[in-house]
Amino acid sequence: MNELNLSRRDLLRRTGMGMPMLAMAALEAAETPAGIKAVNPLAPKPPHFPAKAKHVVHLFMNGGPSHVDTFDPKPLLDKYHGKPLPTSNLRTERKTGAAMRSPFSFAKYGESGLEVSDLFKRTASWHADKLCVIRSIHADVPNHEPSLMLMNCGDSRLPRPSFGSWATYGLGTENQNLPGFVAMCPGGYPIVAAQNWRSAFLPGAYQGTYLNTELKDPEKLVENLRNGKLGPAEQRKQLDLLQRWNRRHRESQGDDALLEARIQSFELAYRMQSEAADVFDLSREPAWLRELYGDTTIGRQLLMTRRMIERGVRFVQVWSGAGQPWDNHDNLEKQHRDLSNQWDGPIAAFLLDLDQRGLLSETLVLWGGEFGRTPVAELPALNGRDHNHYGFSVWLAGGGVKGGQAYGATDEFGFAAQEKPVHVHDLHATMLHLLGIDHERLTYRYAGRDFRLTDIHGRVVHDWIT
Amino acid sequence: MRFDRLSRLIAPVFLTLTIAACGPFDVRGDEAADFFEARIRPVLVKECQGCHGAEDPEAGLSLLTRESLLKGGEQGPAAVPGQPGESLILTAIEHRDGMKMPPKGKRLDQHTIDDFRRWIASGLAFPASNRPAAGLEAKAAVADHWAFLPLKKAEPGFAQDDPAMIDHWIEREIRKQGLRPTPAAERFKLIRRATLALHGLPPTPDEVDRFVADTGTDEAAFDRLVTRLLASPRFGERWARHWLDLARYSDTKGYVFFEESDFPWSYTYRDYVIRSFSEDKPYDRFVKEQIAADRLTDGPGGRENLAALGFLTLGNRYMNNPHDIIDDRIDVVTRPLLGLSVTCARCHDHKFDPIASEDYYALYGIFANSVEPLLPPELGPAGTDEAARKIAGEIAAAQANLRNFVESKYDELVEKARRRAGDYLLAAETSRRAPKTDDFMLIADGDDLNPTLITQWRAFLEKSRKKEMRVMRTWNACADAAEAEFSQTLARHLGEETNPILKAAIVDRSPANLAELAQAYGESMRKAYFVWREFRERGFAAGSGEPIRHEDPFVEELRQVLDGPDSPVRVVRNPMGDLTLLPDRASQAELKKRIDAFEKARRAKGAPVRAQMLTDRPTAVETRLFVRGNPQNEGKEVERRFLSMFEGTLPKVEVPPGQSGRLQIAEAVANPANPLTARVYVNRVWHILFGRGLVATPGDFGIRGEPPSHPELLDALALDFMKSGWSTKQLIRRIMLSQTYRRSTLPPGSSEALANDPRDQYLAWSPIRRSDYETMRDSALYVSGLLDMTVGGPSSGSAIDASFRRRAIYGRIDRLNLPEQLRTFDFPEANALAVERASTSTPGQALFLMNHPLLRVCAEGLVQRSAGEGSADDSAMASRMARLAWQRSPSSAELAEISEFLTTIPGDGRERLIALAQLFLMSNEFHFTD
Repeated sequence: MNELNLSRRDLLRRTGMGMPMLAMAALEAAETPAGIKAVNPLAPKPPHFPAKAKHVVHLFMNGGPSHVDTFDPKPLLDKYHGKPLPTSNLRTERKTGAAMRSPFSFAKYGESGLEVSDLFKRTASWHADKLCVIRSIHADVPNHEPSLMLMNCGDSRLPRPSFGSWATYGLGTENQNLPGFVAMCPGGYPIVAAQNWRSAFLPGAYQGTYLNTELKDPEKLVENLRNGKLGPAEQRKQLDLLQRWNRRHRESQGDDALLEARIQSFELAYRMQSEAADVFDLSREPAWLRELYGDTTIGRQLLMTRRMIERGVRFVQVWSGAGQPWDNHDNLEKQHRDLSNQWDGPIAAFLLDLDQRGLLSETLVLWGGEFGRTPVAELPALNGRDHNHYGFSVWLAGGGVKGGQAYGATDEFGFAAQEKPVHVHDLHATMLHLLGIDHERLTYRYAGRDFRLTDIHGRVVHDWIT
Repeated sequence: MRFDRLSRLIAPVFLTLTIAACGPFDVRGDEAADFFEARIRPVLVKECQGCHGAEDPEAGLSLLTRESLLKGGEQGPAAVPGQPGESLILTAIEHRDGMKMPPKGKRLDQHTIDDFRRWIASGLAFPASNRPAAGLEAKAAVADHWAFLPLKKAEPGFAQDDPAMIDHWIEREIRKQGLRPTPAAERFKLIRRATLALHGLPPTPDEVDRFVADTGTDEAAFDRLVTRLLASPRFGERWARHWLDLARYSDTKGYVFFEESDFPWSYTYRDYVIRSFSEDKPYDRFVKEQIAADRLTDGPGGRENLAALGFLTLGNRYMNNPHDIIDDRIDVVTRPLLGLSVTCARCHDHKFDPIASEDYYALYGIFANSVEPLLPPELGPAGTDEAARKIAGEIAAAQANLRNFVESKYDELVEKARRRAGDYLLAAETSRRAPKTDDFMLIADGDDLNPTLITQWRAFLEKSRKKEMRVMRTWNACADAAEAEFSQTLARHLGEETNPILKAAIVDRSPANLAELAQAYGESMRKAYFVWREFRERGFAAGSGEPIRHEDPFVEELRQVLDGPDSPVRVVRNPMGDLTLLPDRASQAELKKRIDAFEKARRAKGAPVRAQMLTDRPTAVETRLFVRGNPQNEGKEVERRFLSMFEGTLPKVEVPPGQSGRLQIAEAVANPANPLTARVYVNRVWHILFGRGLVATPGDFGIRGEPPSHPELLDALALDFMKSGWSTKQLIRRIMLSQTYRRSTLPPGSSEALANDPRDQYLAWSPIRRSDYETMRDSALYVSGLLDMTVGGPSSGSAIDASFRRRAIYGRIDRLNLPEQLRTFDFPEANALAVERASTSTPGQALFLMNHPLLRVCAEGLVQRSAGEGSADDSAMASRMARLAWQRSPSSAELAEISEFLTTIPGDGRERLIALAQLFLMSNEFHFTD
């Protein structure tokens, strides 16, 4: 299959009748003076209908933050602390015992009076009325690997493209000098590694670009950003001659669009070298702002995220750390406290910063893990919680999100979603909707089927949308 | 809507109109069908058809087709098109007028009910499951579908190896379209094209010179060239890589828990594929070996060929989920070899092609009866010396150590489960009421009830309700009753037909609640089981063999629950153990220790290389269809066989006792009467050589695939291919020797030609082709004199690292952690098989070429190599580099540009030349084949 086919035949074929607009847009992208249609798979494409958000930032609390300790207060747990629940415990990965009260205190914030624990006190005090906390989301199983896959790729087991890949496939990206989909994780990979941001059967151009944000040197963050020997001026000269040759070669070949696409990719790459280095260079931000975000890994990640969003990157995923930091089977009080100390301030600063720049209204922010945790303690000690997929909390903020609300509810102890339950597929469908995409029409033909992020599921939850 | 028609429709209005605006086809009909498929059918299948299905439907109402809905059941028609208010099915799911469907559990959510209303209101669209999207009559479309019909011999006939046959069919279309074919390409371009296609490497300057200087005719010279290229070991390496895309080849298993994540001998499969292409193994044999080499060891190659089974075994292990592993194996056999997407039928009948769910589960049964031996046979002859004996002894000991542990744990598990039948019964009933959740891995204590067995008991309870199993009737009635009404309910359901052993236990205990009733059930089952065991042992002792059933039907009825083929305590034993069946930490730690020791022994230095193979289960397990693909929801038993669409075309598959059926499906795939196998393969070879196939969807020859651009040619090639003894090399030769293959690319100023055939589907000119990552990388190392040509052996290093110098095919592929840079170049993901690669141009690729150390290493090599071959003068150096990279000398204009460029780069002479060398390696001329 060659590029020409990818453009005219393949794109149309694969996108089926579901996305004529997108397919057409891709074909028209990057028209050159010579009138040759070179296809850039990441060229921006119009959505199905007017979008409320253009970018997505996914703050991934990998390991599974406890909802009953953060965004879903359960006062009854105080009463039953140390005692078995009157209802039997739902089966989760490990054996659980008695109820465990939250070691953190909840308070009401904002005009909406949204209840949040002191773990996210600053975020709540500054932004409660912007948050749409979904307290009734549920997933399929209480194991990390399948739940990460479900949250990221919409399927627990089989190789499917990630949300960020679908989003960049459907919408392209606005800044061709930067990757369209970035996944940041300090110090290594989360569980199941790069599968979390894979493009699976979609072309490789839609995979997430991984950044190890532990590295502070912006030039080292992105691979192959610098040539060790040639300086920018020499490299420009090299490219000038390269492009002259390439153009001559193209002309000798009936002006093939494939050749033009590759010519353009070098220009983009050259610009990316300077723009990527620039976007990660936080020294260009004022000191007070850097201080507000905090000079920590998470703070720097979020400031970089804002700089990317500002420049038109489509999808940024920010992970808590390698492995599964929020997986606190024991010693939850200290560990959750430490983690929220890392995140609360930076999130508050990030939302504020986005808002002040007018970016929050076009950026959809998702906070959450792959699942929540049990209201009962893991045996034998009474200081940690097991995984819980039956019900947990995530929140949305930003573009098109109706803030200041807690949607749905878990049961009185926080074990399972009870009131207005929503599945992870529904979250995906709604987020795509906010991006202007009908989740049933964003399809890709593979192995005889038109695949979707939401498979055969997913409902848009209009209550979350302004 | 078939796509060929669609694209023709939109072509003239390409830039101005959207698709919806431009065709005389019924969008509404398709939309209604899509709506039905997305929103209604899944609910019908999941919630309704269990009872309202094909066999003896509840209340006489079947919900399988539109007709059956209209016909209705005992209460009259279930739906009236356009009249939701008149439709009983809506009344029932809304729980109105005393109707309540589904009968158990919660009312369907409001969205679903609204969907049903909309569906009925808009006319009750209910497409047959194999109805094509175009709206043609299902059966007619399937029966007439070109790919399912036998191959047709075209007229005029041509001699077996006459390349003019290809030109005949191609030129006929060219004339029809009014296109003007280009002349043959120049020789230096032809040799580059052919060498890259067959070796994945460019020709050397010497080879170019010799070919250009060949005094024979163009045809004869090219014939000699192709013959030489096909005979080289480089050919096997290059073409094997194409095959490995289909085989989703990887050296690792994906995410695993306790096992080693590497396949110990994966490379033996890769080497087998290389060998097969190099030796031009007949394709039918090649296919058969990859499906059933264990049954074909008597042929040429013998035991060595067992490595072929890596085709089936080297897939992702999906954390040892057996159903997903089997699904992957069904996929790898059907999509690349037959061009059919059979795995669509895992959850429901294929929506477009004639592949029923039963077809899928017929194949499922075959793979469920194929197992991987814990210690597979040695690939080569076993060593006999002292050291080999010592190693063999250590492996045997470690294996026994593992097996004994696993077996004893399984025995213990089953015995405990029988003893605690009452506890399981109660736990299963309780779990029926918990929120629905998929199966998951969990950690338990040794004395806990086993969670997997609880799930099996729960499935047993569901089945007992559905089938109204007599022995469970009392239980189910009491379980459904309110707590306060327990005693009355029990009394009411204890009657004549109650199993007397059970009745005695109940009367004895006079249970006051469900928990106590569970104990009575458990006790009676246990009792019956022991009576049965004694009976069986007596039977053995009397020498009358193993009895099939107990003479007393009441004993038999109860013991079946704890010992029968459908017993909830039945466990499928895995020689490596099973984490879900052994979920307590102590057992798992011990298991891990023993697995580690065994794996270590198996792979110890000097230990023999073994076949990553499958073998047939000696005693077959019968398998069932899983309704909606859910293993907890077993449907009817399905016989092992090949796809029913081939009935009448291929001999019926009969699986002999003691076999899985793999050999039989291997023979069915490789049968010359199979209308798909040769067509799909010939198309694949064409696809590789031209960049697109005669059928543009190489993995989909079904109703929704694209029809062939030249059907007569495809069939003629396929027929001749089989006649030639399924020889890949002869097929390649024939295609390459055609004028069609040898044409030049489009000359400058061909905008008219491009406008007439923008996709080059009529091949009036040669398409230009982008090199894939392996070709690009191997070529760069090769022209720089750095490529290590060692053939075969274990994978090591990564094709993305500058320090790895062997051909890319020998680099290690870790499917869990494939280097991002490889994906950037559209190297396939190795989890799902790739019938074709995407081919994008992105800045990430350009950055790699501009800055990655690999390019630096190659550029340095290219300078060094060029310097060693003559004058150090800049333009002489540049000429030699151009000859190595482009297979031509630079023009004087280019030499002038080069010399100007060299003056602008500071630093010593060598740095300047390295910058120049890199330029050659980055250029489009290096990355494309003209």
